[in-house]
Amino acid sequence: MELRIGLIESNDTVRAGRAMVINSQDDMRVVFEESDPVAALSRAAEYLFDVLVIDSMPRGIELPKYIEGLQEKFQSSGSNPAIIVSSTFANVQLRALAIASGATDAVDLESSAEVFLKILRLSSKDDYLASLESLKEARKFSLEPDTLRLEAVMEAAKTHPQIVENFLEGLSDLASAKKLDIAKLRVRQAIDSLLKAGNFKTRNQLAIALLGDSK
Amino acid sequence: MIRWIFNRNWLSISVLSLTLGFFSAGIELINLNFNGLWFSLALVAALIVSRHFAWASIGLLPIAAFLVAFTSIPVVSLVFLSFVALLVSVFGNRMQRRFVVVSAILAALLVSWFLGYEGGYLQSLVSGAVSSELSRVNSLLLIGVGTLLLFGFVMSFGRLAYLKLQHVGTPRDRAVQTISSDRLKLEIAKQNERLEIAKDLSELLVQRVAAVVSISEGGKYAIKADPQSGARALDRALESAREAQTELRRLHDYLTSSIFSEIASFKISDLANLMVAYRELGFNASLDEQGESFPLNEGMELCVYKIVFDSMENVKKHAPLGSDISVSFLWVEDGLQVLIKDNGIETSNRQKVALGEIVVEYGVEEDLEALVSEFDGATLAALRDRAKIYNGRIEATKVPGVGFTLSAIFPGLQALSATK
Repeated sequence: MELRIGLIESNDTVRAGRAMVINSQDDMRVVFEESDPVAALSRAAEYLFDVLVIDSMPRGIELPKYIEGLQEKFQSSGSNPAIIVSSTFANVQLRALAIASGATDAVDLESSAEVFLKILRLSSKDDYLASLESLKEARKFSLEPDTLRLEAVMEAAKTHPQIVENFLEGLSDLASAKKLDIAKLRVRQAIDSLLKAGNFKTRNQLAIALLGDSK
Repeated sequence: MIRWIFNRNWLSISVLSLTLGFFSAGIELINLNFNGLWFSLALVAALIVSRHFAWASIGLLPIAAFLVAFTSIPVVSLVFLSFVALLVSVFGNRMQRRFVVVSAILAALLVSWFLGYEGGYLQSLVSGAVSSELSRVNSLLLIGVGTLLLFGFVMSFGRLAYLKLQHVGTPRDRAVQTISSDRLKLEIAKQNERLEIAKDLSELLVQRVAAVVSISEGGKYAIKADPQSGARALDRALESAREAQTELRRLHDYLTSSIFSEIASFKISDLANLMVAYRELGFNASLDEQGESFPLNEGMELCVYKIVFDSMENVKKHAPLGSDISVSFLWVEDGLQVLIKDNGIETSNRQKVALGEIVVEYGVEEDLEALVSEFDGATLAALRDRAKIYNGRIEATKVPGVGFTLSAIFPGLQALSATK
């Protein structure tokens, strides 16, 4: 199945380069391009894509607010694409901030195109989790969920301790199911229940909350 | 007065001591009280050593206080004596200041006993005759307390005046500080602004380079599927690279031009004005040239100017006013030597001798040391770096008993000027 990729990047040449890399692949294509991040907020919801690559410095708006705004638009339209933040230079803090704000992961121009394509493919899967180091770093940027939410998540986590453990190790749902000899659907449902209990939008945010409690 | 004593060393102390001594002696002589001259002598001795030999002064204070009883007008003598306490409290170190308090208390006790109790001074002032024990005791107490208060006041005043001078400064000092700090603040603000502009330019540059990377990588992938796209990708990459080069050039021009515009265009010919300025400051500055000069480019002129300027600033810092500073330019066939010589040490020694101070003559050891020792320091290091740009060499030497000489040698400068 072809992955549908959206690009929001104010630098036309960078965007063109990214598009050329994506379109050269058989399993993905660019379905949406926009240079104005603010205009993209209203337009993006009209499209259906699996992964949205956005600029790390959107003009006129802060990154966390921008990601939040995009997620709200997608939620109201019923889609849930992965959001990848793209920057020029590798930056641990930027990656952590992006993940804490609700992005799936971050890429940079310093990494090769192979890494970029790999992250696009992996993040399109529902059970993608950022690296443990990134999640730990992201803890500094994420707001503490309120006590009730956290308690609800912890309570829910107690019912599926092994699933939670596999989840925090970064195993995919399929790998976790195989390890525990249960159906993949059960793993997905367990994690979805945790997401719902804590009202988290992404698995990264859930992982950050769970990591924060297990100090 | 305190600043005057600070700046004039023995001269001011001697003048003050003799003035008060003569006043005191004069009063005694007018009253034909030859015993009182001993007090004048003790006073002069205590004053004259108060700055450099404070311990002697502290010791003499009670002795002079004892002798107050023999003076014609003890009140005036006490006031003169309080100057000793004032000077020790200003110039003495912490231990000496503590001991002068003890000495002042002792002096007050001696004065109150010999003048108040034994002499019945106050009683005699009031009724002309010394009568009962009570009046003696009253006299003792009053004179003792009065003397203590007087000494306490002058010591506090002296210390306060010194602290104000050292740490607060005169209005002129504060004005100079204000101007200096304002200048620094302006400079910092200018540098910050420059940094901001450089940062903005570099951000643009980053974007341009990012574009080159992205389109080049994209082209590399696209060419596999569609060879035609390779040409398009290369065109765009070239365009982005040129834009990046333009931004880089702007940044480079901005950074280099801002440096040059700051220090303007100082030339060797501007040194004549510098000599005039130093003469006005009080130095005997002179400039001379030998040989046929050849043209230098702007950078070299600035380099030579800065070397002379910084060297003279150094002389101003270390040599006393009245020193000779000679700047000589020796132009040879292809090179240049600049010599900056001063006789700060010689001038300083001469001034000391004039004031009666002992000056240690230099000997063979100093001569040998001058031949082998090398001088370092931030200024000299900066000058060496500056000279190295044009293959120059800086040497600083001390001439024992005379002063310092800085030599800047630029061999092959004419050839370098032609190429650069």
